[in-house]
Amino acid sequence: MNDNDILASRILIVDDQPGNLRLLEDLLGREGFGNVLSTTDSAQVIDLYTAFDPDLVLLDLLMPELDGFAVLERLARCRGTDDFRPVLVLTADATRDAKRRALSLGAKDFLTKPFDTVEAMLRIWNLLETRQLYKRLRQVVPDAAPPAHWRGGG
Amino acid sequence: MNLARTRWQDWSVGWKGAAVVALPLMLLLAALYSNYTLQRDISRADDDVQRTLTTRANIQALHTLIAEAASGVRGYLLTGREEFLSPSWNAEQRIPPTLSTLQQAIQDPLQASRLENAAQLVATKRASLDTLRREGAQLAPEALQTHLRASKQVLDDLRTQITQLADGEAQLLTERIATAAVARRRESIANVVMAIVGLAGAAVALWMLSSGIIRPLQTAATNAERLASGLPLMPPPVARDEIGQLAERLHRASLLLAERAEQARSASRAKTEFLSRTSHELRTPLNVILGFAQLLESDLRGMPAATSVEQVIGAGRHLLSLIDEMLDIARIESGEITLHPQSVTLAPLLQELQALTTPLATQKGVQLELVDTGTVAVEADQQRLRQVLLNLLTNAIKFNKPGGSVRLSAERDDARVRIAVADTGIGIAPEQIERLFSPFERLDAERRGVEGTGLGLAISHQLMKRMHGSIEVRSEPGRGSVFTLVLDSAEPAATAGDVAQSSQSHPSAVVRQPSRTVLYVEDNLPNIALMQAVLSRRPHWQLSIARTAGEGLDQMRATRPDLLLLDLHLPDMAGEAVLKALQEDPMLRDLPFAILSADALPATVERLRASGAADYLTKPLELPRLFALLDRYES
Repeated sequence: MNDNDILASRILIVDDQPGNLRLLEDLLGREGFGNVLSTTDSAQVIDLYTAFDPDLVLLDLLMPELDGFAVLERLARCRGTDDFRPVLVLTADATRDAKRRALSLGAKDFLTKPFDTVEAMLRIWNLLETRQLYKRLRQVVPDAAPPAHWRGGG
Repeated sequence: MNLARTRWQDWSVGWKGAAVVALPLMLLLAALYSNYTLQRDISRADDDVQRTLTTRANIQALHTLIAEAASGVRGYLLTGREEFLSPSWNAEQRIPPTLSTLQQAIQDPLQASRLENAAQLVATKRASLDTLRREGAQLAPEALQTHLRASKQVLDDLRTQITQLADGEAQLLTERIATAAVARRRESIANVVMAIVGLAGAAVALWMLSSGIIRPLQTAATNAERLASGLPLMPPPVARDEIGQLAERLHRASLLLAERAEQARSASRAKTEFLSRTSHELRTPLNVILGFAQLLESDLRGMPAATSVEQVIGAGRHLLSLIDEMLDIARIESGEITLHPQSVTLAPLLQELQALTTPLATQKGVQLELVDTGTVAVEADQQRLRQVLLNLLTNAIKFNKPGGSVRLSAERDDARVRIAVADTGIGIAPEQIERLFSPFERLDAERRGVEGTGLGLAISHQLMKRMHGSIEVRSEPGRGSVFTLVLDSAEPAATAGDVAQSSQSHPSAVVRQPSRTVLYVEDNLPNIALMQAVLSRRPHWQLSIARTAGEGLDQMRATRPDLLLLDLHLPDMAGEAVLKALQEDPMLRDLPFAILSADALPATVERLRASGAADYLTKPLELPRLFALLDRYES
């Protein structure tokens, strides 16, 4: 597996603060990620998730209307049980409860804002590496076919 | 108040008290009256008995006096001597008073008539005796005998009368003694009855007192006690008297108290909520500031402006730590704080602290000295340890003299590590050291014009305790102080290596000419949402949507977009048919279009590329490829 496999990964960013979206997009762009989609509207996450089929979701917790926890619950419902599709939670809510709740709802990692850019990139890289290894495993063991919604609609 | 219709419990306490006092009083008066009446009856009966006894004695005396008078006269007649007449005369003188006494004493009508007969006989006898006294000596023996016989007859009659009179009195005596006995027995029965009624009355009064006053008062007292201890109240007896009102007020007071307590709790919750919300609100923009500052820092590495960005980052981090401290206060106050103990190598931490506090030290004219600590590591929560040390360092600088110095050092001492912050400041008097770690204790900081909340050392002290450590203070007024943190030592942790920074260029959002139009024919909503999100990054591209092939064709003819994005699985028309329609319409024949499909079979791709499509994008969408497509049709 070379870096290009990882840099080709699809990343969906959900944050109600446009500044944070720009920061993450710039960070990922400098790193070389091209498949980065972002939205400030958490209500659209499931549609975008279905259509964009991301390898990694970067999710803010505190958002108006549909908050990060609700998004996590919905993501868990549309993700296959044997599917590894990581969600990295990024939030300014640094409380223990928020972390526990997010992780128990299926988030794979947690970063507190303001985050260290190097640490954030390392964590994103690690999660995507795991995701690529999982995908390769699926190619070798094809019997567990991915669920239909992987391919998106239309 | 209409007491007759009111329940006893609802009587006012005044009425209750009056009733409880009045009931025994009335019983006592009744007993006294009854006793008085009975005693009067008894005394009357006794008087009657006494009078009867006297009457009997008087009757006897009358009898004796008459006999005495008669015998005196007889002696005179027989002897002719005058000396016999004297006692007879004396006896006769005493007869009228005795008679009148008897007449007064006897009230029984039968006895009275007998006494009247006897009195007449006595008068006759006395007349006869008078005659004998005056003329007896001169009378012939025959005449005298006749007279004496007649007198004897009178005396016999008189004796009979007196005997009857005496018998009558005896009978009366028996009757009156019986009456007295009955009165006495009645009195003793009455006494027993009064005792029973009195006891019952006392019991009733006691019950009234207990149920109407004592028990409600006890309940009220208990409830007042429970109210003071914050316990739920016992149900009070329902009554409308003063005690009932008291219980009602207590109940209301308890509700009020509970409400106030709830208000206080919710205010406290609101405060914590506010602090955590504020912290969140401050952290969010800080994230952007620090994040972009870091990007700038890497862009400007080696250039003079890099130091400016470093200042921005340093200030941002300092602001962040202030926010953390604010949260700490809230958490310590609510007793909730989480520590993450780990191995902390001191050297980098102390260097960071030195760098952080150098500006302050320079400003105060204090020299900051850091002793190399090698690989010494402690078991601590790094963030908290930094917080404690920063607090000690800033104190050491703030309370120092210009030209003074602060020395930061650490040494291993068996299984413990001692981190010392030594200053040459004003020092602390021994009696003040105890107060040093109390919250809001600022000693004479106010006077010296040193800023601070007075929470720093209290927080530090609590944090060190939670990290199984301690703070020691040695100080000499005028010479300086040494604050020493004592912590468990730890194995040095491995540090993560730096990650090589990639510097690939990213298509940046340069302002381009406006208004290129793209039509997306797609029925699937998530895909539409995706395209909208993607195209929001290309603001100069205007996206319009058609949900069916028919609608799409209509729009194309009406507006003629710059680019067409076509899904091939549409509800109203097969993909091939849509392509055919495009090619057969002269207006649309040269319209650039790209096909988006989940169908990625190589044969399909080949066939459709041949149909004149500008690109064939498979789902899920590769964004760089889509952006490249858009960029191709920019102009």
